[in-house]
Amino acid sequence: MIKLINVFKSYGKQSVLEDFSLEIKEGERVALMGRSGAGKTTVINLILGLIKPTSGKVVINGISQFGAVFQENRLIDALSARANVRVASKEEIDSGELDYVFKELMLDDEITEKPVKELSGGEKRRVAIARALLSQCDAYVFDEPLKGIDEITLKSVTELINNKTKGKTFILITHSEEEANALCDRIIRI
Amino acid sequence: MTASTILAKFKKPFYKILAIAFWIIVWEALALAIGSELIIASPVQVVKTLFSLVVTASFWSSLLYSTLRILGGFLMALLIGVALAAVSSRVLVVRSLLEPITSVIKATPVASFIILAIIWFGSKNLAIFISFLMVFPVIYLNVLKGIESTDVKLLEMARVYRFSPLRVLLYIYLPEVMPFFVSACSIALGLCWKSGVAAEVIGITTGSIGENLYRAKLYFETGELLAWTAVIIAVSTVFEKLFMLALKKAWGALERRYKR
Repeated sequence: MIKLINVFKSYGKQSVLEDFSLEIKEGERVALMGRSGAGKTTVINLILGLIKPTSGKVVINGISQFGAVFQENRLIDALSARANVRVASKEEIDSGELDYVFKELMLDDEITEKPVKELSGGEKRRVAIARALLSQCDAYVFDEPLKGIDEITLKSVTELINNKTKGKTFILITHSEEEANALCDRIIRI
Repeated sequence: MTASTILAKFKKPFYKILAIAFWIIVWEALALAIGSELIIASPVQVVKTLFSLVVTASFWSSLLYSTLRILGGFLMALLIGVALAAVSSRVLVVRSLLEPITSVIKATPVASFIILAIIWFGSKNLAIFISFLMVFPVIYLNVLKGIESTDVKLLEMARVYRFSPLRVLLYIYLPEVMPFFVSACSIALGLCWKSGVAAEVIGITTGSIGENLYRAKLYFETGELLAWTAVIIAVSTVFEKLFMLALKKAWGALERRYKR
C-alpha cells in the first residue's frame, strides 16, 4: 500500500505540491495525469524515496523494491542491453525469460549485445522497460514509458507491460488518455 | 595493407625520430663550437660516460635506492589520495579540512618543503615524503573531480534498483572516475621523479641518484650530470609507460569481466 498524506513539496520558493494526498492499494493500477509541471514526477520521486516531502507523510507498506522506468532512460551507456537488465536484478534472470521479453519488445540479439549508447532513442526506451519488468520487484512506477516508441511496436510493448505487471501495484505517468486506459484501472488527475 | 597505409602508419614515428636526431645534431654542434666539456659535454661524451656508469655496482644501487623511494612515495600518495577523495566526496568536514592543505601544497615551492623535511626527518627518506607530497594533491583533486562528475540520475537509478555498493562502484563510479585517474597518474608519475630527485640533490641523500647529480655538479662533471639526467628521463618514461599499460590492461580486463 502507498499513502501520501497532506504532502507539501517545494524547491526553494517554488511550491510543487500543496496539501497533496493519495492512496494506492496493493495490486492497484493507477495513472497519474495532469499538465506539465503539475508535480507528477515529484509524486513518483517521493514514492521511490528519491526526495523527501517538505512536510506531510509518505507511507510505503509491503513494497521492498520498485521497478522503475524513469523520465530519462538512466541506462549505463557502456553496458549492453542484456548487462543493463542483469545488473539491475537482485537475482539471476532466467535466460529464456530474458529472451522472451527482448523478443516481445522487438529487441533482437544484435541490438541487445551492443553497448546501449549505440542504440536509438526508441530502442533505449524499450531496454529501460525490460530492466523494470525483469527486476523482480513488488511494484512498478513508469514515467511516460511509451514516449519515443513507434506505432508498430506500441501494441506488443503495451501487452507485455500488462502481462508482466499483472497482480502487482502499477503507477503510470502519462499525458495520453488512451495509454492510461490501456494500462490502468484508475486515473488520478493532479 | 597498402603502401600508402604503411607510409601513413610510420610517418609520425619517423618524424619523431627525425626531430630527436635534429636536436642531437644541434647539441653536438653546440658542444663542438663551445669546445669545453666543463660547460657542455657532447652527446658522444655523454653516451661514453653512461656506458662507464652502467658497468659499476654503485650505479645500480643508486638507481634502485631512488626508484624504491620515489615510487614508494607515489604509491602511498595514490592510495591515500584515492581513499581521501572517496571520503571527501561524502564527508564535507573532511573535504573542508583538506581544501586549504591541497591549496598550500600546490602553491608552495617544492624547495621549501624539501628544506623543512630535511629539518624534520633528515635526508634518508626525503624522496618518499617529497614525492608523496607532490603527487597527493594531483591524485586527490582529480579523483574527487571524477567522483563529483558522476551522473546523479544514474546513482538514483542504482538506489531504486538496490545496487550493492560493489555494483555502484564497478558500474557507475569507476567508468566516470577512470579518465580523471589515468590523466592524474600520467602527470603524477613525471612529477614524482622530478621532485624526488630534486629533494635528493638538496638533501644530498647518501647512495641516491640525487647525490650523484650533486657530486657531478660539485666537480663540474658535466658529462656525468647529463648522463644521470638521461637515466632519470629514461627510468621515469619507462615507469610511466609500464604503469599506464598495466592500468589499461587491468581496466580492460575489468570491463570485459563486467560489461557483457
